[in-house]
Amino acid sequence: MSLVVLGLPLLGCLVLALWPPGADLSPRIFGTVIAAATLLAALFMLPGLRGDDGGADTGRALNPRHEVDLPWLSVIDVRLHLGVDGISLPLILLTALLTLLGMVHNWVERPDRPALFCSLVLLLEVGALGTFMALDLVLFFAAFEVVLIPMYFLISRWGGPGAAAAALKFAVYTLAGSAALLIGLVFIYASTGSFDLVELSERGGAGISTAVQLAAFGALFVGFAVKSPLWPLHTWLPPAHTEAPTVGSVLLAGVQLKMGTYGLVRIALPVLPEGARALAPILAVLAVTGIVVAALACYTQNELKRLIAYSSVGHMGFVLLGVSTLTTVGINAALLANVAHGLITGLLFFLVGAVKSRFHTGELDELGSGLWARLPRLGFVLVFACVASLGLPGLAGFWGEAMAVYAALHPAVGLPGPLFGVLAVVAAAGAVLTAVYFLRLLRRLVVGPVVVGAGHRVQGAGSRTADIWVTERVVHVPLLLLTLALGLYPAVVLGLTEGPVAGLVEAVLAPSR
Amino acid sequence: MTVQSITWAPLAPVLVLVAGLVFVLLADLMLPLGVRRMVLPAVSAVTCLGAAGSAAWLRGGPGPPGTFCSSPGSGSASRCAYVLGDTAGFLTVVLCLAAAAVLVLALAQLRADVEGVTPAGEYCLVLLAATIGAVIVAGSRDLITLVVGLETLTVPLYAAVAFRRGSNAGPEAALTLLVVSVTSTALMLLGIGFLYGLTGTMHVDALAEVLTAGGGVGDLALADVAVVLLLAGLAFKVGAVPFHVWAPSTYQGAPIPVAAYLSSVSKAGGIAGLIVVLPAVSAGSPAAATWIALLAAVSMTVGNLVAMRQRHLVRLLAWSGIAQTGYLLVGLAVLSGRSDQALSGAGATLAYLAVYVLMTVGAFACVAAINGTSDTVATSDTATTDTGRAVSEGPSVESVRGLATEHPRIAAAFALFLIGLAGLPPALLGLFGKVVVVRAAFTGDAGWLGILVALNTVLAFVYYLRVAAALFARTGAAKESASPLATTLVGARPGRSVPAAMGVLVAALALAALVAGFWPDLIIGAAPLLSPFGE
Repeated sequence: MSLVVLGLPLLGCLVLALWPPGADLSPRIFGTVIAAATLLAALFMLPGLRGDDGGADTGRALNPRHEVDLPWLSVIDVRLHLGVDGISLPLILLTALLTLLGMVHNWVERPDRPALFCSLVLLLEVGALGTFMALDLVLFFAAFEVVLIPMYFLISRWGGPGAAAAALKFAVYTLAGSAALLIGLVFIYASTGSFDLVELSERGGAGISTAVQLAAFGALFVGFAVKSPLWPLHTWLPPAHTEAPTVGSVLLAGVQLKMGTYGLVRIALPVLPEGARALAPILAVLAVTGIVVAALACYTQNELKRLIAYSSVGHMGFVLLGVSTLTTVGINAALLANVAHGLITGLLFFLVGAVKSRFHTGELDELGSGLWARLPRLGFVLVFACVASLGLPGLAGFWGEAMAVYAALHPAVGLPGPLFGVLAVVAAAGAVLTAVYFLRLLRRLVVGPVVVGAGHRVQGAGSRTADIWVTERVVHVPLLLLTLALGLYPAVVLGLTEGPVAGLVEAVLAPSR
Repeated sequence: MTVQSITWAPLAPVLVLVAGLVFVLLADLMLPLGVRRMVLPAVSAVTCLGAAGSAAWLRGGPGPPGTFCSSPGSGSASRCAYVLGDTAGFLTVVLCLAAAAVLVLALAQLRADVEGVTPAGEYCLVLLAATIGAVIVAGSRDLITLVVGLETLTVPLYAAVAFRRGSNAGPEAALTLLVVSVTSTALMLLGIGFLYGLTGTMHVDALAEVLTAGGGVGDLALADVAVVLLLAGLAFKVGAVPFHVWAPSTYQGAPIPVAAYLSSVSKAGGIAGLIVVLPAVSAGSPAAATWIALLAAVSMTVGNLVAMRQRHLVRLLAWSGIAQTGYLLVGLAVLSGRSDQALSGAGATLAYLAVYVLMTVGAFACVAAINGTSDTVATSDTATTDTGRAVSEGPSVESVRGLATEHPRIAAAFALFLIGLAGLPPALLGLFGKVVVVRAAFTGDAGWLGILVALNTVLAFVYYLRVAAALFARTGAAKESASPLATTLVGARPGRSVPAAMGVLVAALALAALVAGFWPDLIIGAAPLLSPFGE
């Protein structure tokens, strides 16, 4: 099943790359079908994992299902080793879902050269799914890098006026991170002689000297921090988001940002536990700094996409704070917040795309206010997404961030408790700041008297004609419902992650070792 | 001195090439011009394929690998001047396949050359002769054979570089290559002379034994000097910094197939030479590994930094080739390091060499295809008027902007090769090549070189990606913002179709790169990864 999930989009990508360039409708249909089939195949992996103990009782750090293990580059023992567990499956489903919605969105915002566009989106999906399923370090790295190229082209080819520079900045940052990642992986290999993640997780750092663990964890940390992104390595994100086309922004926020935190949980923590324990406080400090800095930066933003990009940095700060506590609660919180952020920010970027396609600007000053009165449906969904993003209890954003703060109050034994206590308080304050800027955004844009801004050039303004179309509803509703479902019943995700996280923490991070 | 015995079997690749060469020589005299332009390069390419096939067959076969051996009765082991072993066989296959690809490029160029300005016979002749030299280098086991091979590789290329008629760039480039090559040969011969004076032998294995034992060696400092001279001579051939200055202007002045040849077969021949002399070198001077490591580090860094500033595609590929030489040298620098059960330094270099040759020939083929579609007559006119400096002929980064709209398949293949050279997915083969090199560096106790390779990958990606992005840029936007020059270039592109031979070649190479990306054992696994030294 793993091979099917990975093979379908790869096949679709290759077929679409050879599609006749003139075609408009057929590649979009084909891309949507492939993306839907991939999501379906990914859903088939679910049953075996519900309520899975994930190795908690066996004490195994990693207990993958749907495993595929084939020889690949035999001379240096690189294997095509894929597998799924409760940590990766939510992200796999999220990736497949957002890709499918992105394909559907192609009917709303038609890209030129749709065959190439859909091919790149599917390649992006291959990379993300490969990253989440890889159980071999080289395979992981390869998949991690596969994402870069299509995203670069999505931004530079279909992006806004400053796209070339933004795409280059994105590529350079990400590549610098990749270089660090590669170095870290080679360090691991040099001291263990293995690329196999199951074996390495089992070892739990045995045989890797403390100095090497520190160096390797530091390198992986930099690599994943760029991708996550962690303050102060986040500066590539706002321009990339601002210039990317809607689908690019959605996949960047919903899929790519998850790869960094996933890498930390899947590789850095279990393989290098000593390094993790030593560097966790630094990770926590940077994460919380990111939360506060991002919240403050949001106040100065006048462009919608930039603003949401900065809010992403803040959300990912909570995720990384959760990881840095090295506790079951914290890591579960991180994984939950990851999924929630993917849904909510994905929805937000779809909505901003809708706003921009109607008003031809994302500048708050030019958009005017009273959007709700002018376009009630769009206004409603926008309000919903914003309050979900600011962490309203009952919606998806709340649980992950609340749990992360809670976990920071009770970090793992051996971590500096007082420091984490202070950080928890600061992070909570950051959450309040986040709430304030989202409410401020709503006040400025959505509610209030109808003021038509300078950028308002849409036909039939104020009438229903410009409100959300049916196709857009198809894109928005699944995200909206899932946000609600996850908020009311977070066990949807936690039921999957609990077992494997418990196994991971027990086997590797427990101080008794 | 006893009479040497000659076993013919290991010479099969050379003999096939010689037969092809004689045929081309004769056919050139007899066939009419129109037929010549087609038949000669085709026959030459088939000859190279045949040589590659025979080498591949011999590599797996049971026959005796060595020839021109001294009689074993003289007390010591039998010493052969030419050994087609595992390493040499692999190198021969790579060299001959690359030469065949270049000859297909030459075929397309000669076909397009309706007026017959470029002499078809001589063109094929020099490329075949140079390939013979490269094959001899790969199998040589003594320094005389090595020098003969290297000169056979280099001398025909002086002529090949000058084959661009109607332009002063060609002769200028040829002169640069001539001067630099003669200098490097002189240095190398001096080093070889010192080594012979110290040890009384020319055979690399014997040299290694004598130098390691230290017996009979008069002056070890002289051995150091000899080794440095030998290395410097070979560093010229492979274009390692600081012996690289000839490369960019020579590549630019040469016809594009010849530039492809220089960066693939000729460079691989130099690497083969380095692998041959390394046993002697590392025995003669303990510092040799450090020298090679420094060459590697400087080459990759300088090559990448300068390549970032290049606008002309061939120059860009030339500088990137200098950086790639750095990666190739990494494996050789760790030859004397800690041994590894699965991969030796030379093995890593050989594996990466195969990957590099595939990608670079592919990239040059795409440049040639692009150049063939643009209006070459107009550019060569401007070239003749501009005699003072190296003129910027051929496609530049600006002129390929938006190529994907007209030639989507060429553009996609070009992007694939560039990304493969950068060493990143989705051109997985390039990534595996890099992983093998980095791993060799780490297991060979040269972790810093491995880290430098990783950092350089980032530097390199900036310029590879810039070209790749230009290929897929929106031409509408480009025309709005473009300078008048760029507009004329875009406007001057008549949309001529790519020659069939070139299209087939590009497709075959791209297919090979993709398939071998998913099954890396096809190329990387085929390399003799364990080979400690030349054998």
